[in-house]
Amino acid sequence: MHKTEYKTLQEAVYHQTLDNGLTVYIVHKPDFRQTYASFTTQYGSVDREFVVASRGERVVVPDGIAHFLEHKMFEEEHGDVFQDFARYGAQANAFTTYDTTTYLFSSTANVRENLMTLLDFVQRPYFTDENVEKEKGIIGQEIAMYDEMPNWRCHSNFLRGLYGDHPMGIDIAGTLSSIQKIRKEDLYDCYETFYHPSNMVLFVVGPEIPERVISWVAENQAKKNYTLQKPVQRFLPSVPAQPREQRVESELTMAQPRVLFGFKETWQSPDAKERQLRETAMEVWMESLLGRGSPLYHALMDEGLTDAGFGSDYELTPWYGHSQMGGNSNRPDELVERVLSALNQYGKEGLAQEDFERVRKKAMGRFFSLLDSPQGIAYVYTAQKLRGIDVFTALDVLERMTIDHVMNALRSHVNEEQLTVSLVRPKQPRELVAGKGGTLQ
Amino acid sequence: MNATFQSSSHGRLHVHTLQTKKYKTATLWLVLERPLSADDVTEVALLPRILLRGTERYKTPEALMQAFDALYGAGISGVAGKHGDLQTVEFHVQFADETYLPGHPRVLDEVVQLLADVFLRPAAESERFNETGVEVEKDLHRQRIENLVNDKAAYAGDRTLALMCKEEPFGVPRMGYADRVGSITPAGLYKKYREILRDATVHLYAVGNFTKEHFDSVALRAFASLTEMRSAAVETDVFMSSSNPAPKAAVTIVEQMDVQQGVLCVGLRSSVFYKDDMYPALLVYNGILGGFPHSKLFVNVREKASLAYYASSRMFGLKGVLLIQSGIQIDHYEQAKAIILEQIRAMETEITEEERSFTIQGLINQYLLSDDQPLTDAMMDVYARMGGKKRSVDALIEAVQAVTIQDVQAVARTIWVDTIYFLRDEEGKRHA
Repeated sequence: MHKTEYKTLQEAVYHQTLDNGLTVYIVHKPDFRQTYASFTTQYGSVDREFVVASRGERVVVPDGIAHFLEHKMFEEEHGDVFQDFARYGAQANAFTTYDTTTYLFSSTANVRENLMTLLDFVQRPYFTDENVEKEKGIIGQEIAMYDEMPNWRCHSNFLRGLYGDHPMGIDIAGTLSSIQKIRKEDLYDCYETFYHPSNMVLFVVGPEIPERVISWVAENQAKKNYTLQKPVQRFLPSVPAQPREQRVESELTMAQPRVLFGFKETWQSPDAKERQLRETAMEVWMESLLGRGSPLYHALMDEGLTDAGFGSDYELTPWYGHSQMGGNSNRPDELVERVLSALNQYGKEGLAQEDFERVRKKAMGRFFSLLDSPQGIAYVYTAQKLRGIDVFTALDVLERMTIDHVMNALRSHVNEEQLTVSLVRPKQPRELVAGKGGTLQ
Repeated sequence: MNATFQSSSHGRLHVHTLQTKKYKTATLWLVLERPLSADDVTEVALLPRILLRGTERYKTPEALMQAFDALYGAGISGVAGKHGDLQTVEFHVQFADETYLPGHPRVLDEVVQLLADVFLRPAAESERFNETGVEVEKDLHRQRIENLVNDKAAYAGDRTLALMCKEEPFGVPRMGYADRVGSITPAGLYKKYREILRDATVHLYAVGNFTKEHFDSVALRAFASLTEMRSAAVETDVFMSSSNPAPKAAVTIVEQMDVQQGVLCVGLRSSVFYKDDMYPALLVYNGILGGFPHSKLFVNVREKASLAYYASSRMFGLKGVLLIQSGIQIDHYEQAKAIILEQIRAMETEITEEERSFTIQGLINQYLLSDDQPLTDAMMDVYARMGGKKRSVDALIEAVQAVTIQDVQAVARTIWVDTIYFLRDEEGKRHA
């Protein structure tokens, strides 16, 4: 087992790759009560075209199938997996992203039993025609619920604008009609291809001794007779160079318009460290220009252009990247104009040394709250690691950061040809949905 | 369990310190407790926003936020909370432990000073808050209330509780009323602020790698004016009312909106409150009914009937109220309602040993997990004052463990359905 120490953080990550290819990471938190474990496959909603590992056939599967599979893993021949976790007092869950599916639990007792339950249920598929049909009603309501959430709708339209009919532009859960096409045979194809241990990562954080955790996991895996599998062959269409639509609008029952806008990234690097530096530089300028300590953030609110929920974010992976900014606004187009002109001005004038230092200090301090959250560590560490980045080096990256990095990132990113604006407007007159006032007779 | 808070009282300021090396950040929580009332809820809910707009030292919102940023990103938030029939005004601050920062800068002392400035020395002139600032925050607050409709499930839950408890403080919305925002004035709001400060008992909780002696000395200096302030009125803790209205036939309310998915809510009342011996059994009751994925609602509404993605219940322990919620296809209303009511009936007679033990283990796990949150014991302390009984996490675990099926059934017999609420589409409305 390999141990990487981070002196400033006073943390260590233990790491081992097992014989069957499963990668295991452990962070020891002796003072914490809980053990939090996540079991992640590098398989998400974008993986709709691939070669089925067992028979070498290239297939295209319906949208939303990775998420559907995540739901169906919780059903076993003997019943519901939630019952197995409940028996040992654990809290279990799962989630699907564009490029991963993660199963997890947290528990304060019976850690070994719960860890075995996690490994075993994810490594034992059980799909029948009947249980697949049954799930369509449940997921249909999940899709219906998200569909009426303004934040979700606005974000989902934003990605559709940026990526069009590329899988990045399609909702993770698919659509009501795409999930109707899913059959148990499709689920088995996906399962056999993507759930091989060599395509998966186990992350455990908690008070258990790392050596002990590794031996439990190794013993469990050794019993399962996995044969080695070649890396998955997937066919992901290349991401369009420019946004497919620069403006996407829709309507929902809500009180106030909501707008999200941002730029599709053109910068890319095969070097993970370079990407990490870029991501950090982007976060620094976004914070200094749009964060709670910036004059612009308060000006936007004072002028009635948005509210305290206005925020910004940037994401960069080896194959896509974009920034996003926005929030609620009664004058969304004015808000976008205002921020764009501030971005241009800022690009010309540059960042003041004093602001840079303040924002850098803030980013350093904020990083520590991540280390106090077992769930946060598991999620961020795994997600970044799968993209080649070690998140525990974040402080070193901040130390190395210069104003030039920040301004170069800003100037090369902000380009109106790469801009997409997603706007969701209220469907009905405001008085119908306004607060009812003090009289509740 | 962790070491518990060490407390000391100074005038109307109560300081509670928990020294620990467990976390890499430190946490401060300032809490002020008062009765919840429709008369001033809107003003009080707006107040934390105004106080965060500037202090005597840092007069503008950005200057104040920059001061926090400069302390390695110390983050402050302020809200008005609702707990049963009571209201809180709260400020929460989290910042990095000095030990881990380059050069070990002194952060704690200045953070405490800033928090005290926000609370005790806001930017104000001639007994009034800044007029422009108040107008901006009023618009934002009105909009925030109106935006509650955006989250359909949360909105439906709030409506159910408001309709169900319209005669009780608990029915008052946490953020107040949109149509009462307009009448708030800079002078009136300042007056309300002084009035709250004059009458309030303030609890300051601190968790981090510092000693009680050090924290006390810093806090007493920063909050000195509060330790000197003594009100003429005798200091009393505000207790919860601990009765619910008499049982009556369930009321069904249907509200229409242009939505695709329906939200079905069922409001239940019990005669069991936080201070009661049967409270642990009420916790188990809620857990078996709808607190977990192994619970009756999840299993029967979602897993067996495939009617919903979520079907759960949660309880408001200080109020003896439970709320069931499920998002369903609109034409499945009757079917879903029948299954939910059947689960409530089954709580009186059909509880298995497995349901009991899974739920108890699930609850214990939740309590132990909460031990990894710095403010859990502080929350229990607030609830002890509000609910009229001191309960520790350890004592709750022990009490929950002892709950029998008979205990849960006894609780079930005290529970009645008060309100059935359905948020649905506008079918039929336009032609009516």
